[in-house]
Amino acid sequence: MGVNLPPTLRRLLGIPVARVGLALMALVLATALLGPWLVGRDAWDLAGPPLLWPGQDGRFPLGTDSLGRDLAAGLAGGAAVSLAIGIVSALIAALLGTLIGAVGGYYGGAVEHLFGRVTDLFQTVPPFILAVVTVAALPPSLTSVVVAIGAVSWPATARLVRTRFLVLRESEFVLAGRMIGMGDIRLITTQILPSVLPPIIVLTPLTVGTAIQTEAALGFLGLSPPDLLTWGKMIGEGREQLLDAWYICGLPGLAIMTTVLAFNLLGESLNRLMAAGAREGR
Amino acid sequence: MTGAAAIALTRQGLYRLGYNLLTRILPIVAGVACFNLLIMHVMTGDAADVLAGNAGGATAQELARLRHEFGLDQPFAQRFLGYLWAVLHGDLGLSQTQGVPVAGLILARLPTTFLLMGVSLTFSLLLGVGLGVLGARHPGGWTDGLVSGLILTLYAMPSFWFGLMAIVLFSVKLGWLPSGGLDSLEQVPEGWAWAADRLKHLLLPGLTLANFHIAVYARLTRGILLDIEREDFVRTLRAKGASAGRILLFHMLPNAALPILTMVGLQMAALFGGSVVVESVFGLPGLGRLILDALLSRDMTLLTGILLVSSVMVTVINLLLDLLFFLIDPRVRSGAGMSPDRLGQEGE
Repeated sequence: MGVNLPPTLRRLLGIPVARVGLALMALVLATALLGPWLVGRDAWDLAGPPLLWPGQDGRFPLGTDSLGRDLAAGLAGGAAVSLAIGIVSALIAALLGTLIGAVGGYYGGAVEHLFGRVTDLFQTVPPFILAVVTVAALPPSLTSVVVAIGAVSWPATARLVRTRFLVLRESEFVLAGRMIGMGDIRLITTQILPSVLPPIIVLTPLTVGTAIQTEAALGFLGLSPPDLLTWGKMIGEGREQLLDAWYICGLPGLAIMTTVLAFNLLGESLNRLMAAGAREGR
Repeated sequence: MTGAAAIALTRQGLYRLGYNLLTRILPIVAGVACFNLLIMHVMTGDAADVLAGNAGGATAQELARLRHEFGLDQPFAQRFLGYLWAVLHGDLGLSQTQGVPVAGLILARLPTTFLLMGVSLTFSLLLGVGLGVLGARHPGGWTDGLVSGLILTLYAMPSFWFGLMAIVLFSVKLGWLPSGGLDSLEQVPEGWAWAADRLKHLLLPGLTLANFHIAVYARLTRGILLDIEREDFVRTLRAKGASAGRILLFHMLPNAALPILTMVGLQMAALFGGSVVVESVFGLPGLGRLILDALLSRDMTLLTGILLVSSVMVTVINLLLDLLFFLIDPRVRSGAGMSPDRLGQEGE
């Protein structure tokens, strides 16, 4: 798969699913970047009367929560937080997974056995419970949440990378590289990694989607960073008013769903693009 | 199969289970134990601090005595071996806030969590396989499109949110189902009425926990069915004039059972984690609620104990699934994979 963007983007736009995904992604990005400015109100401000339903008051198009905070401001502010946590922790997971998978797969033998066991361990421990325990043990902060989610999200990438490395390390171009005296690190990074990169790129949007959901569930249980208003936290706090004002929980949930769907569709379309590329190449 | 052969097979299967228990549970226990000690180590303040804090402060001497009592002043390796030894004897330590053995607290909550997981797994498999079959009937048709859309939606939907919205719709607006708890508050009926009442309480939580997994099994089943359809044995059956329903039910789905059950094992960790959130939504007295309580009181012995027990449970369930494969599927017994010609033989 070529990395030069314009042709890739053009081919991506040829897939209907990708068009929906990119449109949703644009919506989420616009909300994160322009939303706070458009709403023009701080998410924490007790700005109006409490428990206004969406559409009830023109000044608060999406209503207010039990403290009179503007839900539109909360949703817009939450978008940036969700995206940041999701993307950064997925990148950590991709890096960690690539490193563990590459080293295990390249060296094989005892190293591969050990790293494989560690990966197995992380796939056996319920990831969400592990994330909860990690966040609880670390001081409450944005970094703790990102680290916890990153630490539970890498095994899928590690497995993928390891399998590819196990195959590629026996291939002719790697043997040739070894013959002319390339070192291990050079072989791994300049020879094998480039051909493993496309599947990693396909997997990463899906990891972002899962990470955003994990963050939302942590927030729902009250484990969000204390100084940030996240979508999960909004749902957790809105639970108290579920019977009278379900929209307080309903709207952030729709936001989470839209964002996760955008990333999943992107991953799915990249996957199709790669499959189509493989067919053409054959 | 004769009786003697069945007994021999069962004995063989049990040996296999015993061997796997030793070789697969031990590393898991050691790994999680290591992680647990590490977590306790990096944590701001240890068990002695928490106890002292609960007691309203303590002198430096008192703290040192407590640390010595808990063995916190020993070197890491010694503490690790001590913890491992205790864990292998079923001792997970005392709860920092309640002062009772953690193992007992956890065991008391496991049945509820298992019940929820069981109900949820049943929903996931029934609805997931059903949707997968529907999607595979006319690939690319409108039913397939609908199924694909539903799968994408279920993948993206936060389960706890689905649970809350289901409470609003089915409990509050329609009044059909209870919104939480395990039993009705009024006098508990007995026998079948009790079971029906229990099931009614588990319907929404089960479905909430299932929604992600429905998507997983639907996608998997659809893929497998589309693959199997190209096999020779299916073509032969069609040529012989077997009905589509008969081919699906007696020939294609049995062949899909092994990968689907393998997926059940792979999803077990996610199912366990999901139940934490779902129990909190519906106020079910299971492991998830115990985790919430432990979080509020920052009871790390309890939290790490739960992490260990849930990991061991995931492994045990996987080993039982492995035993099941071994007993029901001759291909696993002979160590052979799922080669097409073998699939063909079984189809006849």
